[in-house]
Amino acid sequence: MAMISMTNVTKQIAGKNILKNVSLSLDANSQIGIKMAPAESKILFQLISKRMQPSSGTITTNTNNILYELSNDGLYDNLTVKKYLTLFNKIGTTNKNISDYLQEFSIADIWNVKIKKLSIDQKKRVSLLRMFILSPELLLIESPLANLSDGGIELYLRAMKFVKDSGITILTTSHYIEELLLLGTDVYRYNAKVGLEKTDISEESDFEDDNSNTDKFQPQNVFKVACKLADKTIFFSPDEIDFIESINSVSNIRIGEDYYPSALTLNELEEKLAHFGFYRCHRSYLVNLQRISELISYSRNSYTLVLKGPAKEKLPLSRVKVEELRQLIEA
Amino acid sequence: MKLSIRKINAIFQLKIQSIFTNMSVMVAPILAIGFVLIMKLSMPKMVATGAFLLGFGVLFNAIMGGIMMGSYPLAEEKEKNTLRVLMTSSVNGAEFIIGSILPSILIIFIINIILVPVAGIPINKIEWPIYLIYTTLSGLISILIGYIVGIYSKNQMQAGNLSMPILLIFTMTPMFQMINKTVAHIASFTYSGTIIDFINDMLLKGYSLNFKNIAILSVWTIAGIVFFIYAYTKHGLDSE
Repeated sequence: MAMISMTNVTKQIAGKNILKNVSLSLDANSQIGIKMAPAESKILFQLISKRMQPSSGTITTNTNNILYELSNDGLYDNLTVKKYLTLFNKIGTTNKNISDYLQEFSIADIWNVKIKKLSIDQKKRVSLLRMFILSPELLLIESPLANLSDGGIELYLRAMKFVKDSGITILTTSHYIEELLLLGTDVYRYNAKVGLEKTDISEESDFEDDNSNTDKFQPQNVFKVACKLADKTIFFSPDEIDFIESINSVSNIRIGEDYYPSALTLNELEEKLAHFGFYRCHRSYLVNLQRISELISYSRNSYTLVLKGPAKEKLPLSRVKVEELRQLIEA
Repeated sequence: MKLSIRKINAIFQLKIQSIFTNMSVMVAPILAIGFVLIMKLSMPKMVATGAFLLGFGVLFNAIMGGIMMGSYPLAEEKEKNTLRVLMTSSVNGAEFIIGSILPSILIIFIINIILVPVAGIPINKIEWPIYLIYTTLSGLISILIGYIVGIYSKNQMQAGNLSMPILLIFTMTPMFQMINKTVAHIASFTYSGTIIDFINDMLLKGYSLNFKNIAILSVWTIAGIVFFIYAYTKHGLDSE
């Protein structure tokens, strides 16, 4: 049975749509990530935890034991980690023996340290353990990895795996898709026009197979991408396209602010567009190299490509691809 | 709304710890004792009588301290987003309020007792039951005023700005009473004025329970509770 199911949930605040047409079914003991803005994420958490009623649509939750954490949640700086966690253990009903979990959450060495002296990596793990000792069935977390160091991310992910293995369902949100990819979850994107969409992430191995096909390449000087819309078929020149994104197994051509679905798969498009300066920067994205304006590195493991144009669209770039991309551009 | 003693106890312990580590809250009780001591040692005996010193100390502790203990910690919790964490961890508003009012009342109560010997008043001259009830009640009224300020402010800075005028009006009641008879008459209807009148009467004339004092304190207490409940139900503790 689904832990939460949301059908066409819309929430308006002060006449403005914050969330629109959100439909989601989350199974027990699963873990998903949703790409959405912080304001949307806050409202989504409040809706799921029943602190707020939706404007329309229905939300059914299978549990009342829901905890959520927003990225700016605070800890009591003047308490030590031990006092802080003991406080929440008293508030909770299960009364766990906290010292059993210090290894899993990598905080044994800071047990008697005041919270104000901790790094953000350590604070995030303390916060995760705080939620864990309250034994929720569903955990909603906003941007858990934001601002964390590489080492911090590794330890946090280990703690998070422990939480999930204990039977807790986890939903994370982030403004950046690469953060959700690091969490290794199914990724959904929230789009104000169409609601939630699942982003396809094919296995890395499939992708390598496709690369070997490039040997059979046939030069094509003329190629237009065909998109069928209602009874019309629209042809786009490769140079018009900003990027192509795979959503629910459909390749969507992004031009300006609009998406056009194509009948071809991302792999087929990649093959056809490689010689027009398109590059597969990520499993779900094919980018027009001419449209790239910036490459940003948020941490050593995550890179983001920023495209030209008013939307300043951001695409994830796999770590393994950075060098390859540099060579392509600089050659 | 269900109340859990376990959660109230957890909040109580948290607040006790945070009061002792937060100097901005402890400053009023410490100042109360410090000022009374300094004035007793430095001012001529004619001016710094026992009644003057004790009245001054109680105003600082119960009125100023109460308002500060109500407003600052609540505003700090809101500013640092720690209140939201408690609220999402199944602690409800009533549990939080009870758990946080109790330590403040306890401190005000203890300091009010300590002030008597510090002001150099013989212990047998104090009508202890009435003294403790009146001063604790005025502490409670101040804490409620402080909470109302806390509910309407977003951070400690704003809480400071909002509470300062209220705090000055009530703490300086005895000075207003010196201006003229009309002001003195009006001031005698404030809860701080009542406390000063009571202390003066008790130490200078001998005090017997009178209806006016009891009525004023009861009205202030009820008004404090009503306004607090109004502000709480309308805005909640953590309105965003």
